[in-house]
This record gives sequence, structure tokens and C-alpha cells, in this order.
Amino acid sequence: MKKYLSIYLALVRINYTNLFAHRANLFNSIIASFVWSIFVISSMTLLTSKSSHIFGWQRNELLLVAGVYNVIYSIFYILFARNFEEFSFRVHLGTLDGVLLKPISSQFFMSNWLISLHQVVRFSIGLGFVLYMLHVMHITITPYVVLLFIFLTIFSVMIIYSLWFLIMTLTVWQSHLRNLVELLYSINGITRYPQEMYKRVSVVFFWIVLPLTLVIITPTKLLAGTITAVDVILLAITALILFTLSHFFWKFALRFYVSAN
Amino acid sequence: MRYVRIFLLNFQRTLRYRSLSFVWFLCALVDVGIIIFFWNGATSGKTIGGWNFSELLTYYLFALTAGQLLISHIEYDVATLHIQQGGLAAFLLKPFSYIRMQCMGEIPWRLLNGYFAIIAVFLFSFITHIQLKTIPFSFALLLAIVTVVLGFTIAFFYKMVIGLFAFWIIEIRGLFEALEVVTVILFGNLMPISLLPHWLMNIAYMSPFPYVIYFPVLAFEGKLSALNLFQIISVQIIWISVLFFVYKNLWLRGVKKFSAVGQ
Repeated sequence: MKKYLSIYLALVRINYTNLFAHRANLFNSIIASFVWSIFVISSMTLLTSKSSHIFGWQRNELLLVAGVYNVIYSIFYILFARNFEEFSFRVHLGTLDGVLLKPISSQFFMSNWLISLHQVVRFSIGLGFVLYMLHVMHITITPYVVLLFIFLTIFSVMIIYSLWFLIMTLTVWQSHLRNLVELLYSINGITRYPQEMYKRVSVVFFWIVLPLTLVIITPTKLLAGTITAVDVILLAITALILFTLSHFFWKFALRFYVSAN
Repeated sequence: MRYVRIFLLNFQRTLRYRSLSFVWFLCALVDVGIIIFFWNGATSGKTIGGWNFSELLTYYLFALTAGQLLISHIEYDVATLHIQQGGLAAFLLKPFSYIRMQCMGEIPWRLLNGYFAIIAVFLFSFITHIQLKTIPFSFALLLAIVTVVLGFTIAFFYKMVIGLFAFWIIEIRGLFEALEVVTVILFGNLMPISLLPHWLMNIAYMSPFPYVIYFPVLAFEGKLSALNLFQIISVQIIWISVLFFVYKNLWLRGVKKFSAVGQ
């Protein structure tokens, strides 16, 4: 554990240096991060502009969902997303060989090598918007809620990470699917809306997307004061199951890895 | 004839990478699917801004098809592979027009993605027994097809123009992402333009973007009269002329600035 912590700290330092080594790239990344965070909020604003209640949720609550979405996904983007963008290339070009030869966990390497510190912009915008919406909705937050929100955020990020890892592991068999990660970015959109929306379409579909619908909605329910113990337990159990599954699936998939041949 | 040959070669390449194309289509399908689910609950039996759920469903399914069929994605290749990494040098040495080559390279991708979208729309209609309201076979249908062709041309020139910005801007990704967000809203992908707030609707109508997806989709839904369609076609032609003029200027200036080295 201590070894991994020191490696991770070294990675943070390297990524931080890289960030400022390419300033034009940093400026661009900040613009992109800013624009997408605004898009998430503005698209929800536009979609809800014609109705005050949707799926039993008030407009302000749905806007709060958009804010929480930015907060949680920005954490995921900071920590993991760029690694998944490289995932299929590592498998396709055979550079995964080098990863497997290193005396550290290959899952750790594949998930943590690149850190997108510029996504802090998105995190700040998301957090600012959440605080603004809480003010608009006259909701007071206690230290206990903040602490629980942090725990729920950790579980949510675990779910997103595990699902992305599970799906990207498929590139061990189909390494040319380099745009699979783009599909995952699109699937993220599922988490931006209440669970009731999917229940209404079909029960089967609802159960398929259930893990995703927990990611943003459960922490939002906490802030809105509508959360139950079942919600928390469901989120935690789903996160732990998916994380374990992602680990074993990766181990299984590596048996089929054939390098660049 | 030589461009037809280039088109056919590109078509073969596109078929070789059909699974990539299918994943791109799935991305669009997921985006549209989520919004359809949203409207399913938001409308729940009532109309919003004059649109009921059935009309919105038809709109989004047609917009999905139009997006796949009409919107080029050449800007990244033009900006990064050709201008920044120097691949343009090889094109300049060939006895072909660069823009026509790009067009012949892009059309096969649009056709394949459009094919996936059309199949998906038919499957959806067949499974759910939902009758999609479309324009009857008439003179207006002919005009609607013209708006589609012109819509593709607008999108193509627009993407070409923003790709050429790479002659002057080294790191262009941020600009592309910013423009992508703007166009998702102004193309009418997020929601029909008429449902946007008034100020945003006015901005959209002053831009070329609604003429790429929004109006062609309305045309195919049969929501526009022949007279409306003539007006739209006229505006589309004006936008194509403007974008072509901008493209030509940027290209002539940019090529003079371009340099590539190799060993």
C-alpha cells in the first residue's frame, strides 16, 4: 500500500509538471473543461425551461443533479478518464507488454498513469453551482451531510470507474475499437436524469441501467434531504461488487492478451 | 471519374472499419435515446411549445438520422493530421483538389452511419408500432431532399473552415470543443429550435446551423409548406456561398503559411 501511495504521489508530481510544460495545451484543456461543465448545466436548464415538475422532481432539484454531475464526473475525469482514452491504444499497439512486465499491479498502471489536473476547473464550476442551487432551494448543509456526501462520492466514482474498466477490458479481444471510450462518454448522460425516467420506459431497461442511475441521483438525494438508508446501502454494495468484478474480469481478460500480434 | 474512384476506395476503407462507424452511431443513439426518454416523462400526455410526444419522437429520430447522414467530422483530420502533422504536403503534391478529396473521403462515412440510423429508426418503428409522421410523396418531398443535400454542404464547408483555423492556431482542441457545444444546441440536436428561449432561438436563426438539421427534419416531418421550403433553400444557398467564400480565403492564405519538413 505504501509503495502504491509513493508511486501515486510521484505520478501526481509528473502530471503536474507536464501540465505546465505545455501551456497552450493547458489553456485549451481548461476551455474544453469549462465549456462542457457549462453545457451540462445549460442543457438541463433548457430542457426543463418549459415544465416545473418532471418525474416528480422539481426543476431546481434537476438543476442540482446537473451540478452534482459536474462535481462527481470531474473527480472521475481528474483521476481516471484520460487513462481510459489510452487504454485501447496500449492494447492495440502492444505497449501493454511493458505494463505487464512492471512490478506493480497492471490495473493500477492502466487506471492511474495519467491525471487530468485541468479538470479542477470543472470541479470548481460544479461545486459552485451546487452551492448556488442549495442557496436558491434554501437548503442548509450540516458537517454530517458533507461527510456523507464525500463517502457517497467515493462510491459513485468507484461505480463509474468499475463500469468503464469492465467495458474497456473488452478491447483485449477487440483492440481496434478505439472509439469505445467515446461511447462511455455518451453513456455518462444516463446518470444525469432521475431513475423514474427509466422506470417509465421499461422495467427491464431500468434494471440494466440501475448502477448508473445511482451514481448521481443518490448523492443529490442526500443534498435534497430525500435520501433513505436503502439508497446508501444500494450504492455502496453496487460499488463494491462492480469494483471486485472489474478486477477479476481484467485478470481473466489478460489470459487472452496476445500483444501486438 | 477519378473522384468516383477515390470515393469507391474510401468506401472500401469505410466498410473495413464498419465497427468503428457503428460505435460512433451508438454514441449518437445513446444521446438521442436519453433525451427521448426525458421528453416521454416531461410531456406525459400534454404538449410543450406546440409539440406533443409523438411529434418530438419523430423529430429526434429524424434528427438522429440527419446528424449521422449530414454532419461531417473532417475538422480533426484537417487540423491535426493534415495541417499540424504535415500530412497536407502529400495532398498538395497530388493532382487533385484537396476539398474534393476530403469530401469523397467523408461521404462514405456519412452513408454508412446514415444507413445504421435508418435501420434503427425502422426497427424502432416496427417494434413499438409507432407510426412516424412523414411527408407524403409530392413536390415538397423533392424540395425536402434538396434541403438535405444543401444541409450536408453547409455542414461540410463549416467543418472545413474550422479545420483550416489550425493554420493559425496551434492548439485547436479547445476551440473545437467549444464550437461542438454551441452547435449541439444550434443544430437542433438538444431540442427543436422552436422550444429554445426566444433570445437563443433568434441567435440560432441568424446562424447557418438550423439549416443543417432542424429545417431538413421539419421538411421531412411535413411541417413546412413548399413556399417555406423555397425560402429555406434560398437561405441555405446564401450560407453555402458565404462559407465557400470564407473557406476559399482561409485556404489561399493558409496554404501560403503552411510549411512541412521531412527527412
